[in-house]
Amino acid sequence: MSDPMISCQEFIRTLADFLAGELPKDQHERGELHLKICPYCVDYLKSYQLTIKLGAEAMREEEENAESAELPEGLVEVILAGKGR
Amino acid sequence: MTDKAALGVVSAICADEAALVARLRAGDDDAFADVVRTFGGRMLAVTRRMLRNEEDARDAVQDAFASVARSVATFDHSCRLATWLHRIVVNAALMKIRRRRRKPEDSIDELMPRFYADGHRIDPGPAWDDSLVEKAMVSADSRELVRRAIDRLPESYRTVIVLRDIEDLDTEETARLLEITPSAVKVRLHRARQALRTLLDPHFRERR
Repeated sequence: MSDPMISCQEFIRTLADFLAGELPKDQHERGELHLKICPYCVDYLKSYQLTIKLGAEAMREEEENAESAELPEGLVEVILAGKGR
Repeated sequence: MTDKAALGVVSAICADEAALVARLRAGDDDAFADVVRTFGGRMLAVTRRMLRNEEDARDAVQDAFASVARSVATFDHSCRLATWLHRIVVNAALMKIRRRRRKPEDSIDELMPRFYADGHRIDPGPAWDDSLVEKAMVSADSRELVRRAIDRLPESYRTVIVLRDIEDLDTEETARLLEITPSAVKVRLHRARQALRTLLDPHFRERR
């Protein structure tokens, strides 16, 4: 029977799969147990999730700006002229 | 064109997508121009995110539309036109990345968390401050700071973050596009997120 306790290193190594729900059930439960006893890994998990959110927000803002702008007319002309080449 | 008007055009196109694709397949130049003007801005945003270079981004959009013109006959309606165009433009940007990736990338090992032999983390540091993160979500300066941090990542790591966390592609699709295994995508994505977290950490940790 495997040790129900895992280390911070093991928890962080499998964190992405833990969050995606892609760990085997017993491994996921060991991760849940680790979070109950390790406030540092609770903090790490939270900052990891916020990193993903901050990255997506920052890059999507660029897209929103681009969507409200039209494709530069010069580029449209080049694309239309190049059709069928 | 206002956002509302643009939305109207897109809605109209969605409602009549089959007809639009039929016109595209027939070689209708006006239909092609409609697609370029309607979807081109969004496609340029994708290539700008992936390539971080305006000239390359524009070239990739141009390449993507050349591909659209050549391969519209293969569009099979199993996905939306916008989804198909998205795949094509992501592919065009990846082709650019492959062509320009010549020099070895810097290691990101120093941005990974470090551990003692017993598995405890070395210097975990303070937790992140929720209020700082919330402010960052609405602050243009902070979002720019996050973008600059993403730009500091080596290209192969930045690309996997953009494809998985921003373009919302799944692991299998990302693996296919990057020509690596799904396991390698997972490992690279996790390392990229951890490295980005380390770069952002000084800006969001609680002030003691």
